[in-house]
Amino acid sequence: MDIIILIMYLLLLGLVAAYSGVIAYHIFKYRHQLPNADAQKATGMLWAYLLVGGVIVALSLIGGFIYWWTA
Amino acid sequence: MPEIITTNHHDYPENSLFYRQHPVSLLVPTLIALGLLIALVFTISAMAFALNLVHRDSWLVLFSGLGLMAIWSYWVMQWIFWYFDIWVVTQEKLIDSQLVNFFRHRRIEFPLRQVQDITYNTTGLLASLFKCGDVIVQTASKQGAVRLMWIYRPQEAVEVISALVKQATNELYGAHEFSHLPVKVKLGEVLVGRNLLSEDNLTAALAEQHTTREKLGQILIRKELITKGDLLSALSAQYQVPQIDLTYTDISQDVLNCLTAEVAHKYGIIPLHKNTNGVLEVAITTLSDDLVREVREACGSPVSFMLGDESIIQGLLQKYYPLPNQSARV
Repeated sequence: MDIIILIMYLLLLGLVAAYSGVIAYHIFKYRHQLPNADAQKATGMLWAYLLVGGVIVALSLIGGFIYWWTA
Repeated sequence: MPEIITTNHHDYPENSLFYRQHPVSLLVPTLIALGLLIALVFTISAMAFALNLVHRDSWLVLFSGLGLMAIWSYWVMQWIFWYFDIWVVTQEKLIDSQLVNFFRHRRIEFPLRQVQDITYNTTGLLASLFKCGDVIVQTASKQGAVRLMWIYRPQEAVEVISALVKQATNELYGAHEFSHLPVKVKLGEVLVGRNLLSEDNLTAALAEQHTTREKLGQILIRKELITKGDLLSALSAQYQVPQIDLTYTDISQDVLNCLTAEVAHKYGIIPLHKNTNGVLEVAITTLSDDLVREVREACGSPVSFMLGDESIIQGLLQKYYPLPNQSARV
């Protein structure tokens, strides 16, 4: 059972990672259409997005492992 | 320490105006994200009761993290759609740059002198509360109207853009009106000078013109030596008047009344629009002193000229100034 859920989890994780890639692609590809100050803000937003997203996923992984080993 | 430019942005002129939707337009995506968050909490809580697995809590924490990341990604993508949707107004042109959807970016540029009308409207409670509205810029270009949405204080935007349009129009036509400069170069010279036509072909076409009395441009197009676009561009340079795309032209009755059908058909011209200075814009296919003088006298107002495609002008003439025998046939 755990294997099936693990596959589901990995598939969804892949989808979310792909979506993150799409976001990064859009910012890097189209930021030159913006005036310079705005382009830098957009780049800053990308780092903020990746940081917050990374923290969310990392915390859930840590929490998941703790529950796993204490179950 | 020198400033490090990390982007290869477009060099917009320093005094350009930048417009973006008011941040309140992000309210709907934000509410959707909050709705998704509540749905996630309910789903995880329900699964905590329903599932009976050894590592249930572990899986729920992992999937909660994924759900949060998905919602966060959704909101950031909406932010990108909002942030990358800008309108830039320079001294010469209006630029509409927008991320329409995933992997599709649209950028429209058109000169301010093609702007015909600028209006705004404010509809809805949110727009009224936050002093926002849509600014509609009607143009004579293929794009038709460009809508600047959720603009803060739209009336001020209309005033500023109108002033820039007026300035661009004045720069193009002098103070108010087109001043007809004597034509110094010949059409054939322009085409040969641009490497669009060889000397031999020009000589042959001129010889043919001598016998048929047909227009040189028509001969060259018929013999497929140049395209209509080449001809328009060359004529524009020869007469020193701008080109205009007449594909989507709608002319009001007030403007049509400025010119009689007789004059319109005599010179193959069509009035298009009266700009903010009261100057009547007229589409032409050729330019002469007689044409300029007679049109000015017929209109009784300042006139400016733009070069249009002859076949389209003929179509517009038949539509807006039908000859008596044509009307009878219809």
